[in-house]
Amino acid sequence: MSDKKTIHEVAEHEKHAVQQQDAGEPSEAAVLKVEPAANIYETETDFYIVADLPGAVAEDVNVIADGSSLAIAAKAPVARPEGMDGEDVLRQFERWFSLPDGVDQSAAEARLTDGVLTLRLPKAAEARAHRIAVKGS
Amino acid sequence: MMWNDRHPMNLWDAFSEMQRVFDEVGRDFAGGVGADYPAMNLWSNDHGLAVTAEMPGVDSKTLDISTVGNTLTIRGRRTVSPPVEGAKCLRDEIGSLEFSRSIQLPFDVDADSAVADYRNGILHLSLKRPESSKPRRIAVSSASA
Repeated sequence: MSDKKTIHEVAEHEKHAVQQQDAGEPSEAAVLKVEPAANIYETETDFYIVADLPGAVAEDVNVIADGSSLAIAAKAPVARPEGMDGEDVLRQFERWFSLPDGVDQSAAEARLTDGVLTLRLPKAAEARAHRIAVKGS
Repeated sequence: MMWNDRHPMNLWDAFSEMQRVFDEVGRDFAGGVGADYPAMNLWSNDHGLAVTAEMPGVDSKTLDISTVGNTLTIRGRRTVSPPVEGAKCLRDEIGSLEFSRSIQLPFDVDADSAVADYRNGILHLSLKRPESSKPRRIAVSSASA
């Protein structure tokens, strides 16, 4: 995860990269834009987003939380095997989510395993449900 | 609380959503995933083929890959479980599934020489073309006497 770029800068950067690919630069790859499928889970303390990013490696995955928005953007190139006829394939993943209030973005964690991204978004302490003790008289 | 993704909404997003709904409906009718899962790429040359199949989150031990003549079949299973026990699922687009896909290859392949490698959610297959199925140049003799 990176907190150096804003969500809009990342979106612009990705768009530029796609335009370059569309123009046949720097390599002639077939670019496939994909909105990854995702599951969302909730526990008492966290939200989780699980997203399919087949072929992506951790260095090529950007997860940016900015205010109430969260973007997952990744590139997954499948190089044409050496000596084969045909072209490279570049998967370009992008999906945006609106975050609920009360997510502690600074404590978010992301893990990538077998092309599946698991993002843990802890709830801020004040946003967690509290059990209220009921006293007997 | 709202989990609205795709913002701002545009025509392309609307089309993607429509495609997703069609896919899900097709899946329901098929009683599993469609015959087009997993998505595959195929490259070839005179000596063989390279195939990739996108199947994130699959335990490679569940994969069953077979070839008969020029037909390649890939079967497998993906088991999806919550990231932690007891988590409530708010959106469920990725489910557990069993899949089977067969494709016709441009020529027969030698099953014994096949090499399979699963990494980063993609299966990479390398298949050799047997000598017997390679194109041969036929010499033309002239009958001039």
